[in-house]
Amino acid sequence: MAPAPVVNGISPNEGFPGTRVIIRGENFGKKPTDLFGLTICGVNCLLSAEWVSENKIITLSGAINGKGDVIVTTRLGGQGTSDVQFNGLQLTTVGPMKESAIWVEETPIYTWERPSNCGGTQDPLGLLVEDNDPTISKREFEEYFPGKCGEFSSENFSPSWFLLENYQLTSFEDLKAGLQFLQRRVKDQKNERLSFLKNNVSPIIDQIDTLVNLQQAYEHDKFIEPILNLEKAIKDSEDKTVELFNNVLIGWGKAEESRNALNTLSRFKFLFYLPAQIEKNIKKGQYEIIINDYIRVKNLFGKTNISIFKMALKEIENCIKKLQNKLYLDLQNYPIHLGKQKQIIRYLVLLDSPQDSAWIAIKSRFVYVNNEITTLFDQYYNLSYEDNIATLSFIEDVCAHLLGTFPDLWNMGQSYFNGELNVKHKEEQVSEFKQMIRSIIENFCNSVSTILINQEHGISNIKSPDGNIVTYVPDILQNIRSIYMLFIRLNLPKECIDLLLNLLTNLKIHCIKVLFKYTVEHIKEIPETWDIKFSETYSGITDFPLQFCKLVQEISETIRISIFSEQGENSVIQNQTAIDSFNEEFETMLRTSETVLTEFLVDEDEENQEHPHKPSIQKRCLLTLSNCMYIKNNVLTTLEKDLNYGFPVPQEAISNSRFGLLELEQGIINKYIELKSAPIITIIEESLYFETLNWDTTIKVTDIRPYIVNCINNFVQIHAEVNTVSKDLLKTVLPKIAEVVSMELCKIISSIEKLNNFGALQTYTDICFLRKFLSGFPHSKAEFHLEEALDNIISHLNEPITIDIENILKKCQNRMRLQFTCISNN
Amino acid sequence: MAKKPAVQTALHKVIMVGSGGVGKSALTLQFMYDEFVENYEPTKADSYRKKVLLDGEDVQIDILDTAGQEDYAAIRDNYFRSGEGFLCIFSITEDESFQATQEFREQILRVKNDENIPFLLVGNKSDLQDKRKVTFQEASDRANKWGVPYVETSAKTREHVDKVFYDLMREIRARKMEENKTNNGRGKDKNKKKKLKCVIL
Ligand SMILES: Nc1nc2c(ncn2[C@@H]2O[C@H](COP(=O)(O)OP(=O)(O)OP(=O)(O)O)[C@@H](O)[C@H]2O)c(=O)[nH]1
Ligand SMILES: [Mg+2]
Repeated sequence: MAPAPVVNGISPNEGFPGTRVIIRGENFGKKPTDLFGLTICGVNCLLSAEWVSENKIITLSGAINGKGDVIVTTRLGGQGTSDVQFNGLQLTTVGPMKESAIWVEETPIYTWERPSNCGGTQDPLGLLVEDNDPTISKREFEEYFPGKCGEFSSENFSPSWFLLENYQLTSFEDLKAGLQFLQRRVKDQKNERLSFLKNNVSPIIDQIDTLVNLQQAYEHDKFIEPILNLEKAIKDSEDKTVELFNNVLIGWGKAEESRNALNTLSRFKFLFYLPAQIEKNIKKGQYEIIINDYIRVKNLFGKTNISIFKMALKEIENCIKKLQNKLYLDLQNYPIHLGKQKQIIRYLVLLDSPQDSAWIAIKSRFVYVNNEITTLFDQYYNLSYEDNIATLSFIEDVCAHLLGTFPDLWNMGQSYFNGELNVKHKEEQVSEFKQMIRSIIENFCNSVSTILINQEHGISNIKSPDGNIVTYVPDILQNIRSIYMLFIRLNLPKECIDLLLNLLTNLKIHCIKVLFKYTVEHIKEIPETWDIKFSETYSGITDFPLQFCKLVQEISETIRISIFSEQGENSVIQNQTAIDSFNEEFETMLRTSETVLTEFLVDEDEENQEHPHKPSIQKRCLLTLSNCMYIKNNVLTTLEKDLNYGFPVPQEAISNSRFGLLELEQGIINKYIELKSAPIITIIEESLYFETLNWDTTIKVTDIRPYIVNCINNFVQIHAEVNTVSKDLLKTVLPKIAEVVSMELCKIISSIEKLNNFGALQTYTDICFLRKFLSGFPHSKAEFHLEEALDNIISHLNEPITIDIENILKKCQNRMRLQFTCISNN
Repeated sequence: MAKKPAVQTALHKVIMVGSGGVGKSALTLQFMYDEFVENYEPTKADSYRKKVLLDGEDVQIDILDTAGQEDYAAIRDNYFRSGEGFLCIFSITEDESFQATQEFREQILRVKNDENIPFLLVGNKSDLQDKRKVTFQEASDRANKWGVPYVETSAKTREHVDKVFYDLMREIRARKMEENKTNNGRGKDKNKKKKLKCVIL
């Protein structure tokens, strides 16, 4: 016995029915006929099997589903085994659009039937001839075998052509084997036909019986007028058909009718239920649904003539009216959100409201905005004005109100006129709307200016607990400015914006006044402690000029920030009234210093002194003088040069103030001179008038008289007094006093009618000494007056001066060198 | 049916991969049947099995010859999953086929998720030296980079044909032995691991 066949190679290892499969292995027999059986997964494939060699069989896979072995059976080796498996795939139709995970053979699927014996197979003799390149061309064949053909199926088949074409190189032995193969197959086919009949004996007999029956029936019919019968049958069937068809028609008609009835009913149901439905939805606030239903019902029944429908419609209309009324109420129930209002307007439009709901909304919104301003105004106007904070909160409230409500009104108007609300507007409404906007702004401006720009009650009256109005002004202006910004943002017409600008400007001018007024009051309230301070540039001033300077600087800064900083909005700088007012107020403020300084000099009753340490009038004079000069020279210069006002420097105000101060300065100096020179003059007068009367005796002049010493001591005392306040004042004050005293002395001398020699000499010596002393004050006109007095005395002498005056003077000076050093010390 | 031999012969599953026409089928058939097929017939997927003597041990080699044609690329993943070792073939006469090995390598690593899967880079058609397009150096460089051996074969002259299959089988065998060891040794650990996972979950 030969070894059993083994399959150990399969290509491919899976496939659809009809796949060409190459089976490889061992012991497949020595010749094609040795192959007895071939199954793949138990499906017989022998029919299509092609034995190629001992190791190779080619076949087509059958209707295999799933994996299975490939079993080869040979004549001598028997049933073999399989080391590899074939996977039969299920046939699924895969269209061009369907995705497939597996590869689909695109060649037409093998039709599973016996392969035709001729024509189809290339190799009917079962001899695998691998290399059969035709060595004879088709043309040559046609020459050899005219009218013949090499095709199996052809009527002109020529075996010789066929053999030459396909088996030219095959050996005779092989051809003989091929003939055998062919014969075997033909025989097989014959056997198959016979066995087919055997297997189907009973159905065949059945068929024959049926044929016999048919024949008998036909014979029978031949005798009884087959046509009549046929006609009757046709008539019958026709009647039957008509009857059936009518039945169907009737049924269909009935169904149609009832369906119509049902439809109508449900429509009516909708109509009659609608009022209740609307009430319900109104309660739920589902207006959209109501609108939908309403539009639907109008479309369905709007043109009906049936009275009951009309009644129902009327009822619905009533409901809708109710809803409209409610919506109108809602529409005007302020405060209301703009979006909500627009939605209500939309509802009303959809509900065919006869009125122009959008315009109503605009008007009511206008009334709301405007009334609120008035309400706020009344509320504050009637309040007691001692409550200053109320004024402030009025501004805040009214501005907040406008900021919050005005844009909605404006936007509503814009939407209305743009047609966004789906309502057509009338031309005159545009100007009406403008008028509304205008009147709101006017109302606002009037209210604000009534409350604020009011000399009695306005801003000027605002006093916070700490009394500083300055902090409120910027706030107030900022509030009004925010309204201005709002208008700009909303792009309001220029005329409206101008109204507000006007208010702003007036307000600013008013604020300027108020702020200055406030500062003036503060300047007046600066307390004077009379403590002497020394600054770098000036010695001997009090706190007042410094405080004054600080206040002025502060207010300038406040004004710059709150009033002059906004360059864009119709700048106040361009407004001459404002500038004039500013300059005027600025001057008033500066000149308050003069008033205050003057007041410091007023001599009150001794008992009424507020200030326990209030110094003497002389000292106050000196200090005030010093202050005056400091303000004039330092403070004003600083204001002129160093301040950043943000507006033109109030040059005129400053120079006016400077001039005023200069005048004041002169006044004070004069007052002080008068105060100081009067006692000295008295001393001189008394001495000259009364002592000279007894000057008949002739005594030799050896010294100066005591009144001169007294005079000199007085000067030294003045010098000291001035010096304690400010050295700078020495030059201003002392020469003047010396001058006044000298002038008076000259007058006294000239009024003496008679002097004896001794008296004249004595007086001459005295005055010489005084002259020597007063020469310590430079730039004084004292010298001139004393010279005149001396000339006058000399005219009284009737003999030349014989005494050594110089010597006496030297002696006296030596004695009084302390006094001399005192004044020469500067 | 259930006639189990006392000691079951080991079965090593080898998969042939590479571009179309590089000689996968040729190598397989040469190895299996000592036959060289001259004409080219694109493969879908072929299975072969053979008993061989590997270092004195009876083993079975199961060869899956896959399709190189791009048309079949979609089904490769499925095939690769079952492989225990891979012969990645390219033709030294065709640079494109050499470049394609990179892609095959990546696909295998992705499917197998194992860096050390037994793998040989095979340059076929070494008999066609005059048509060589891929140098020995660049091919072995790539193999080095991957950490795999590189062998040049000829399905026509049978040069190194047995070698590649045997070498691959040896690697597979070594790999399995190593796995057996670790599996046995780690039996307990595995349980622990599972438990741990449960806890986490
Ligand atoms: N000269 C030479 N030709 C070879 C060699 N290997 C294969 N061939 C030829 O190359 C062609 C393709 O060989 P196949 O083995 O069918 O290629 P494949 O890699 O299986 O191709 P696919 O079926 O698409 O996967 C055939 O004509 C072979 O004769 C070889 O080593 N040398
Ligand atoms: Mg192939």
